[in-house]
Amino acid sequence: MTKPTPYRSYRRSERKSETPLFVAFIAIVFVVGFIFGIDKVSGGMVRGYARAGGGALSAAVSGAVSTVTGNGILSTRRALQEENTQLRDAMAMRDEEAARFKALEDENDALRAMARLAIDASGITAPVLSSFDSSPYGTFTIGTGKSSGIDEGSIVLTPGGFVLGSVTSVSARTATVEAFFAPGKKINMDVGDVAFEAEGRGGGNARGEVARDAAVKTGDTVIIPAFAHRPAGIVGEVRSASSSAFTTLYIRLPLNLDTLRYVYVLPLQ
Amino acid sequence: MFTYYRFSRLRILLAIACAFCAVFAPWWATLIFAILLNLRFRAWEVILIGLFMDLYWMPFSVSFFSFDSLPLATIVAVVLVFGFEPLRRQLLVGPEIL
Repeated sequence: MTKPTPYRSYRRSERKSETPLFVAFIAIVFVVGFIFGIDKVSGGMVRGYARAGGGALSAAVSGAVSTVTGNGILSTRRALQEENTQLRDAMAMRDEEAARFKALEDENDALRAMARLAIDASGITAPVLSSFDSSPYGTFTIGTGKSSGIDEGSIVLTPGGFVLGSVTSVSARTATVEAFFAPGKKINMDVGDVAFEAEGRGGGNARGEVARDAAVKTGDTVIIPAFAHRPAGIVGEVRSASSSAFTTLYIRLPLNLDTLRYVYVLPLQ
Repeated sequence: MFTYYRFSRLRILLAIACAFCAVFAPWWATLIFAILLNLRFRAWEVILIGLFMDLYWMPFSVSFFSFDSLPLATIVAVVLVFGFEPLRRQLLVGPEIL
């Protein structure tokens, strides 16, 4: 009789001691479904806890970074970084102001009156707490919440007045904002007299198609009719293939989202 | 014995980095750490991180009936943990077998 090889006997005994994967898989699917089910039924309670935990982590890390950078050890490096940041902010602000000036030129007074655009709407300035790249869903968190009168559906603007997104969930002091240019998100927009549907591409970019003969050029302002005709971006590039009946518009926000530190939130009227 | 479900310093460091990236870094950095973890270990913690990521970042409640509201991070994490299992079995065997 042949004696089994050590290799085969080892594999057999090893397999016996392993966790059956299909049981683990079913258990995980059940637990995950249960957690998401509880969250849905409770109206976002579990998400609220997760965000509270993430917010506490953010605050802790922010405090640690402040301690490290504020004790003087890295003062030279820190000063340079701050100067860089200030210069970058100034450049972004200048670009945005130029685009805003163009947008204001494009919108005449009659159109504003018809759209009942509330130019002097009062809002709240809120700090941006998270990076715009962190979320795979095109969301970010801001440092204001129910305590400041913010509610779900509140509109978030850039300092220059471009529409950035809307608040989708609120806790006492933080809120989650979904960007209108979130990946895959579709939104109706106007450029000049042409209405079209744009699809978000993330990072403050979107893409849409208009008829080939539409009078659209690079630099035109794109507005969102649903939000009092506020500007949402500018046409960064226009591409048209000779074989296509449509012209593709590449829309972008006229500022660098990475340098955006504060946003302006309009509470629901 | 097989080593891919053992806890080690490397696994703990990768898991901490992965969890940290879920909040502070671009989403693709989290994905890279999750792939690294699952190439070497049967890393159940990646599913927890994916679950946390969805709960933290999703703008609405999850619905399994709409493609737009699927918990993508959790699904990717489950696929990584279970999908990489054959690869781990083939490549990451203990020295006793060799």
